[in-house]
Amino acid sequence: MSLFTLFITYIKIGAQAFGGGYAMLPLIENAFVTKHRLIGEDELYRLFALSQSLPGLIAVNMAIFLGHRLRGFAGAVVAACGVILPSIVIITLIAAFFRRFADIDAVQRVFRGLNIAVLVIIAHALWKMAKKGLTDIVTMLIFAVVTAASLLTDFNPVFFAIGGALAGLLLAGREVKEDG
Amino acid sequence: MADFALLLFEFMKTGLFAVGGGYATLPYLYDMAVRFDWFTLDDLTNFIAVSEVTPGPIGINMATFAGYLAHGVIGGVGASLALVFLPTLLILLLLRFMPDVTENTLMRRVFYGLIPAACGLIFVSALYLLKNALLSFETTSVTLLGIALLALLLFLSFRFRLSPFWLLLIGGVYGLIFL
Repeated sequence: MSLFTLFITYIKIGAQAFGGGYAMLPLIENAFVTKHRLIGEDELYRLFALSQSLPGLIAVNMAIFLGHRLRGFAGAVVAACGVILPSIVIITLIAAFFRRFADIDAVQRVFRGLNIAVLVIIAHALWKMAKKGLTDIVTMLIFAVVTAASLLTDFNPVFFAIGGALAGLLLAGREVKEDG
Repeated sequence: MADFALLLFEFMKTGLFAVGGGYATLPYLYDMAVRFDWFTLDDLTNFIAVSEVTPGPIGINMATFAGYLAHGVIGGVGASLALVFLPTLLILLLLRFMPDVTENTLMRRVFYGLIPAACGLIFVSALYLLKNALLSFETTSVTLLGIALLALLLFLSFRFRLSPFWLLLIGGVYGLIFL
């Protein structure tokens, strides 16, 4: 697959994925596994799992891994640019007009409903993440301490993230499982 | 100019510390809404909703929106690129020097503590968003209708695994009629 085709393929994926990184997996599978047979399904799932457990956005991390696998470093950059380009264009257009529409009564009512739906979507995503990440006493304790401390103080979230990582490093026993 | 550099710095920091996808950027966006005059908490709740109903990575959608409100087109593009810059660099370095990254125990131990911390931070942001959503209802009866929608959608999501698309459609229509 040429760099140009990779770029166009990822632009199409970025423009079709409603719902972010998780919604992108079937589209990626269709483009790279079913249509072009460039990568096996197993390896795709392995890269997806890896993308979830690194800093950054799942969709962009996935594009970097896949782009690198197909066309090296240039492929990684091209795929990452392709996947974010439609978002940047679409949201810039919406943001330019948003405040003009935000004052309309009907729009405000729709958004009050959407905001509730968004909370439920976040709750569900958080639940899935917690099921994977809160596996023992230590991880549950880190969760409880970070939640309480961030409710009661106004420190920058970065401190809590670093604190959690350090606590994990110090307290993680040998029970940290082989396949994460 | 200094303010634009600060915006880029804040988003680079967010990218590096947000683990677990687009929603993991929420605590950092919330923090920005409180500390800077780039966008308000109401803007934040609205652009999360817009990010959900438009295609593309949710984190990029939110960063573009936030950056646009702060510094126009350049702000939107800059915030998005800043968000992905450090993780991209990190992954490219890992691929270069540590191809067996999944097998690395140090990485695994870092994420062992980082993921529960990220869960806590996202949980707290969600609580603030909930408070903000409930405060946006003008009367008690509308607040009760809002809570009813919350209960209904939680049930549909957790019991029947209804996809975000349907949750948003139901939420939007219900909002137009009742809220």
